[in-house]
Amino acid sequence: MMQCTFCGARYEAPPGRRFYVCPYCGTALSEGKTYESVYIFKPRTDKTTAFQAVLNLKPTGSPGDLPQAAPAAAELHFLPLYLYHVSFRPLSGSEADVAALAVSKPPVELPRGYRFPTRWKTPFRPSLEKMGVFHQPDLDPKSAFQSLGEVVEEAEAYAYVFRTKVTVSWRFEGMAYFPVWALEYEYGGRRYAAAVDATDGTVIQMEYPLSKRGRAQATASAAAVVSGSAVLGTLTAALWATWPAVGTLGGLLASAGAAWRLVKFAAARRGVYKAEAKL
Amino acid sequence: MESLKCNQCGAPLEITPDTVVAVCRFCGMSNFLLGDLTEVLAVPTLSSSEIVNKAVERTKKDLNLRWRMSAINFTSPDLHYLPFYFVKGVLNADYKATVVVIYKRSQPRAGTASSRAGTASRVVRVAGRVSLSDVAAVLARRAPWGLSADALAKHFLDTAPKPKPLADVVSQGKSAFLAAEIAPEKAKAKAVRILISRLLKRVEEDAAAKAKEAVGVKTATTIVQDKAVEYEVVQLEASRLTYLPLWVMTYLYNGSHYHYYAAGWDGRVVLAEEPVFAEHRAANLLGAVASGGFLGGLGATYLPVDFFTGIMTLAGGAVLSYAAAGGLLKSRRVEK
Repeated sequence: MMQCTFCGARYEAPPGRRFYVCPYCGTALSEGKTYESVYIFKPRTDKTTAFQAVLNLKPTGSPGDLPQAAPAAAELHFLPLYLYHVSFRPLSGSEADVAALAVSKPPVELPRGYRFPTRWKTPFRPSLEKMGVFHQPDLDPKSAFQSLGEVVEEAEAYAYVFRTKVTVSWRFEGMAYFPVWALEYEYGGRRYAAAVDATDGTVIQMEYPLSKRGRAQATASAAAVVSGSAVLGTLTAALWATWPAVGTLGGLLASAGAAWRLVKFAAARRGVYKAEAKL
Repeated sequence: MESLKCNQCGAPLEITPDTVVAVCRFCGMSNFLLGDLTEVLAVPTLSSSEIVNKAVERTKKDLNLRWRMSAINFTSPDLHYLPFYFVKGVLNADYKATVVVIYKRSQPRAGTASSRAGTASRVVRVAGRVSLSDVAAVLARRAPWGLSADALAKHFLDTAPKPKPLADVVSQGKSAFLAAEIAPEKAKAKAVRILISRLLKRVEEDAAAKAKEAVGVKTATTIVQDKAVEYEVVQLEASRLTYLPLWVMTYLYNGSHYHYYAAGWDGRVVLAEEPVFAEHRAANLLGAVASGGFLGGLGATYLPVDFFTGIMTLAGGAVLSYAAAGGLLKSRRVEK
């Protein structure tokens, strides 16, 4: 059992963790240190809206009647994020703020470089615990920071250009809980998973059934690219005054890139959509 | 929660750490929770209905959406006032760089009068000094927002609308103001990081230009292999905290949601999420064919002449066609 240094509440503390968050007031404790700034991003998207966003997204190759698929399960997860303030020394005053996921195995996969929104940030309150599953951080701030490869890469780039040793120093600024809907829906007797950013309703990622039409279109596109490339390759070689057959072969070889990608899509068991960038 | 009272009637105010202006539920008075109001600026916004009209106009002019107006439904937009610092910086850099210049030259073909094109490359060492005077927009929030905030700040710098004191603007969007979380000093530090990357880009451009000049060619491919840079910050000045209005507007196309992000002062859509239509797929298909066919044909023809160039051209064609196929499978797109 842990006792919160801020509100005095006792709560369960599984061993082997270096970091604990009081479920009542949100105060974070680590090796005797107290971090008070715990925020929560307020979920503004309810279950129904989240399902609607997923089923109406219409990703490439999905069946037309996907909006009629049956919602099967929904759970609101609060993922802990660590917030850091980073500076690159000795580069005068070059600073940044970054956030890293504080769990090693998140219940939903987030795209690399996902920008967490800043809207609707409110302080953590115990009453919010009824809303969803709060995940305790299982990484300590130091190792979570190391997962942010891009910061280190940037420091390396600076060090290389400015011919000095650049050290990344960071300050732990606090924690934030980020709400994500983990959804499941049923279509044609199979279950598909999806994740929705609960702060603004953005579909982060979703699995979806591929329709026969979608598969056929991708296959047809592959065939079109390969034959088109072969013809264009032949013409190119002919214009170059060499054997056209060489060009045909070249066109076939180079179009293999597109063909592989399209055929892989058409032959996959299910389609996967991933949000590209935070708008 | 703190308990604050309305300046006018004394009723308790509902506030969160993000509250900038609390409007009293009882008397309607705006209570500012910022220290010195004269120090804060905001750009006035058009009304919600004007923003909708602008968005509809934009859609009517959009190359792909104009033909599908009947399938599009607009919803009412949400206003967000985002806090920015605009930091003006002057940076100088002295650099030394090694640049590879790859250029075309004509070689006489053995035994004939004709000549044929070939490529040659030279490694050049250059040094120089560049100066950068630029404005960096820094969002005064601890976590980033997204691409729309970058686009909004860029549009602000391009169009330069006149900001007014916050008190004159606040009636427009009481709860839309997001609290600034960072001070000007920290904004300056963040700006340096943005400006350094622009400075390095300028160093690369300058080094490439100098290298081409040294070789004596106008058109050439240059690769900056190695560079050493020393920079100094000559001037750094942060603007007053400036609130910019961003409208987020959802529209439905065939039951699917897409978003417009519009600047409040002129209603210009700075970022638009749009469906991928048949014409985009067709363009990507043509792109895949063009890159695969042309580069493939060229590469194969080159193989007996120059094996390395031939293989690289072939591989380049395969990579480009792979990328174009990705465009073919995309579900939605972003237009700036």
